[in-house]
Amino acid sequence: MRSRIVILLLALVVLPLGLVGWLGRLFWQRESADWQLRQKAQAIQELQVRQQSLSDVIHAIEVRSHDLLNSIGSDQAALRNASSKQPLIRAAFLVEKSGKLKIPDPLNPDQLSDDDREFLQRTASIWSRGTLLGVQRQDESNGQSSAKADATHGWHTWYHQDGPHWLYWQRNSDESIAGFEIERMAFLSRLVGGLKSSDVSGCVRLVSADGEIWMQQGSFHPESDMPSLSTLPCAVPMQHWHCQFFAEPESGQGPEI
Amino acid sequence: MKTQFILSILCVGGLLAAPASAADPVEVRVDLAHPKIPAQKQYKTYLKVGLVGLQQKEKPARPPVNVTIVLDRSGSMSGPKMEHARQAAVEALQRLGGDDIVSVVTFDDGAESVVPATKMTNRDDIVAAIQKITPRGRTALFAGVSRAAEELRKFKTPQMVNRIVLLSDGMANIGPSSADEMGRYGVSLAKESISVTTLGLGLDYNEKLLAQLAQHSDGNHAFIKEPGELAAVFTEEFGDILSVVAQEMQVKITCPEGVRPVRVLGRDASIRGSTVEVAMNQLRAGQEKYVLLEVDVPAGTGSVPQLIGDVEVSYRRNDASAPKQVVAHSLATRVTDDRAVESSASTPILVEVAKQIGVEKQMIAVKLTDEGKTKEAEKVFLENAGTLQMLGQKYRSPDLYIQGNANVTLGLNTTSSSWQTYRNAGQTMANLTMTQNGSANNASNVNDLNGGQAVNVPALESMFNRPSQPSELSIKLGAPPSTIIMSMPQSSSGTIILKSSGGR
Repeated sequence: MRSRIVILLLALVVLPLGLVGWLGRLFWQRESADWQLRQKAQAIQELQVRQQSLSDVIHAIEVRSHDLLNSIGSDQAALRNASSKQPLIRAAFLVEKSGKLKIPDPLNPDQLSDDDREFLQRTASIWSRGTLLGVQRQDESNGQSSAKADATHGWHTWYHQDGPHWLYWQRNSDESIAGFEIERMAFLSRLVGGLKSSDVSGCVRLVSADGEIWMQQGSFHPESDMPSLSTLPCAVPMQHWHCQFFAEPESGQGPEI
Repeated sequence: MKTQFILSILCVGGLLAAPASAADPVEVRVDLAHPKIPAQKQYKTYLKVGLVGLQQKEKPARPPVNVTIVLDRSGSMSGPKMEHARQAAVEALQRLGGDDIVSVVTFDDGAESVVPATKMTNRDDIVAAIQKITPRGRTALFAGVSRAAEELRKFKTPQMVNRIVLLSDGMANIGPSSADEMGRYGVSLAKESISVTTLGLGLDYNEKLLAQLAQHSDGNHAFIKEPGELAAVFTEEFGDILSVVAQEMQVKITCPEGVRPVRVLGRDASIRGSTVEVAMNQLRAGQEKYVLLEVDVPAGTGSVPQLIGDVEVSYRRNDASAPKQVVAHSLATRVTDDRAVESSASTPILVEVAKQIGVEKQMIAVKLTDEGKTKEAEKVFLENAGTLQMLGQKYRSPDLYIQGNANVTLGLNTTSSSWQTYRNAGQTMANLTMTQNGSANNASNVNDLNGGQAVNVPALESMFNRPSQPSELSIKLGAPPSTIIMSMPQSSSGTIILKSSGGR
């Protein structure tokens, strides 16, 4: 009789407690999932702000390059001189309709400056294929690029020694292609320097295609092996670069109940 | 019509080109190393185009400056370094006026605009923001400079002197850390008329990276060993910024058929066929910057003057938006007597040539040392030192002596525990020689790193010791210098005997 009473009393105490515990765990799991979703959404929002910021910078550079090429028109001297005045331009080039490189002209070595020679060395892999930029670009990006052989303008990315380099090009009315080699460090500086910042509870990073961190924002410093909570790619021609968000571990596990 | 005024002067014998008028802040000088060249044979000589910033009798209103101070706030800056850096920045800013624009950027893991670009009217707020800077994190140097450039661009106008003053004590470990890449970035900033002065504090900073950034943007670079010297260096740097008399300088040299431009010593230049183009950013009063072009002149006939090059110089004065242009022609006289060629030679130009070539060799030796090839490096250093000392004696040039001394000291310290100190000091001197161009025009002991960095003479004398007696050069490997010196007292000549405690 006494044992029954004990069991009954225990049941009266334990069952409600168990029920409360179970409900609490359910609630905690749901809250935790909701919190993680909210945090992920916030991470994506933070990254989208940066992504948009980077896209704006890239677009502005694209527009400037486009306008400059239009203003230069067929003035070959102006095209040659563009690199000496424009901070974002390292070299200029002109490819004839036939595919022959006219500026700088490798067949006229006496008229080449040291900068011209270095440009030809850096871009040798492009010209040696003897094809137009649009076709190459499609090949190189494994179909990810929207550029076509008959595109009127676009970006071309290639790798040389210290990482990616970029050409911006435009097809002229006579089917020749004029363009610029973008000054890589100036370009990246505009991206890094122009990146919008706000108070971030985690950490936002701009990471290159080979994993190098170029910029970091936020008070949290993640370990090198910590996975990012969220990642977004940058806009073309930086599509192999990423913005990453890292949440602080204690907060990443969910809210305290 | 961009050209306000064109002056064309025929320079027989490669002499002076364009004396400045009363209001001109710049004097353009065109000289040849050999105004007389052999008549019947090919000859190598040097054409120097110098731009001298003139002190104005009536002090004109200075142009407004647009300056960004960039402070490394990484963890290694804790303690006295940060205290002195804050104080130095605050003191330097006291020199600015209400029309000047200032911004302060810090960098650790990322970059932050502690003081976004603003007029120097609310000094208290600016000082308060600077005083709140505390050290933390790592060294995202590139992000710091990039943010600084963005701050400068907010108010940048052609009438302003735009400069970034960067202080760092460490290795860039977030973002790019390649000196060549930072050099390219410097080139790009120079095209925007933004120069970067880099101040390396202590022994652990990346000298090559900071030097490349400064050199290619036409700014200054200094090595500062002790934080206590920061205030003086900052103040002098701001003095440089406030005395700029011309900007956006372009030099174009066109050689006639047969005359071959070979190379420009110590500066970035574009040589395309017979045309040479060089851009320089800013020139301050009392400073000379120059282009030193090596040319191969073909054999000629008789006494017909030989045109070496047509020179076009353009620059923008502080009070004008359009560039001013100066045109000159450099001619050499053909002579049949070789002694006449030799006697006509310009010693100052040949000294500059020797300095620049000496720097090239020093750079090679430092690179060898950095690669661990210390024996080879020592050989190059000492050979270079011998050549510099020999030419120093021949031309009676104290500058060449001191450069030779520096190479001896560097050569004897490639395996020393103090190598980094000597290296940074020697390289700063070398960078100065490469880009400063014309230290002798400044009579004071305060001289330039490419035009403006303060340094103190005793510090250099303690490291690259000058000959104490006319007949003997004593190399004392004493305490490394705390800062680098730019100019030497004009004295001393005679036979040099090299000695060292190691019996070499």
